[in-house]
Amino acid sequence: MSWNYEREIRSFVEQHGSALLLYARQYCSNPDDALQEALIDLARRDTLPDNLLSWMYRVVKNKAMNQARADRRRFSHQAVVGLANDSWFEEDPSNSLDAKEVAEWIRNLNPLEREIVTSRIWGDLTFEQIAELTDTSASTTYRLFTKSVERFRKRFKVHLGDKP
Amino acid sequence: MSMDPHQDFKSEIEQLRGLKPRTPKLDWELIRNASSNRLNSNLAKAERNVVYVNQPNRSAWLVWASGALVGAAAMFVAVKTMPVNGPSQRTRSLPSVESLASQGSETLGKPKPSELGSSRGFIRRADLRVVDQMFSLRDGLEIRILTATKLAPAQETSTSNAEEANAASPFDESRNQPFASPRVITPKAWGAVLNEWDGPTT
Repeated sequence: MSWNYEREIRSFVEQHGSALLLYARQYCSNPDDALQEALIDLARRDTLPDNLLSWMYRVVKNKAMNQARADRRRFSHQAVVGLANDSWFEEDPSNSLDAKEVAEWIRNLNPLEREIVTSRIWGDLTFEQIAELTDTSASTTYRLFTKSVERFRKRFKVHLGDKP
Repeated sequence: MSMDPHQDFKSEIEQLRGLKPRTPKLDWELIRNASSNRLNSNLAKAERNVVYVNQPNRSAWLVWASGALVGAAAMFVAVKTMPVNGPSQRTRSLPSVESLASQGSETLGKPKPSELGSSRGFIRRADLRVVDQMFSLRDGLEIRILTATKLAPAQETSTSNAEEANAASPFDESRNQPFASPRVITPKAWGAVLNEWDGPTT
């Protein structure tokens, strides 16, 4: 590996690794392995993809779904989707939101809404990129995103309003 | 509601982004090895290409040489098995008179359809035999003439004019057997014999 190439991958992981891990977590129980395999595929390429962010989200999704199919033969569905006890977010006392409650809110979204919310808020993908990733239209992703955030507002309004 | 959800849900989105997802735990050695394998494979591929450029393909040479050998062998077999029709130029010779005579009874003796009804005759076997005998007789005659010419001056001195007259006489016995005793034949007698030979025969 050339050092410049490795530096590019490291820089990409520092910038988007956490969001990709959160995105992969909704599919499988071990998102780190899915991200690892995707990065290995990236390292094997001669050149970087044109749109590296979209390419990585697509590859991570495929790796995570393949891992989920393999896990489904051995574990229960709850363990497969990785929605159980593992922490999704870093504990940050300075943030007014409770990480576990947010994780619970995301867990209760339907799969398409969950994918749209995670890739839009933490992955910083555009609605067009999300539509391409989810095989839907941009207007659908926009509509589902606003609907999910409205639900979040209703659920956490009390907490946000209670915050001094 | 505007088309930009960030304006409508700005505070909520900022709050959510304040939560940092857990950082991934990656094995960078595996990623580095994958990239190294790619570089090594690319390097090997490049070296292979250089080898192919500098050294021609050996299998192509083998194919070419084997093809040439097979072609030469096929040509040799074809030449050896080619049928030979008729005698070669070395063994060919002129037909003898006897062969002509034997063919004459079959081919020469038969008139062609275009010649049927014409007055011209055709060669028969007996005619050819006569011609052959005439040629052999003439050869023997010439040999005898040459021999007599050499011997003639020594004998001319010992012969008289009467003997010459007798020898030249057409009624002489030597006329019937002119070559029986060459010693007594004079050039004049030979001349009479030759004149008689060249003359018209019955």
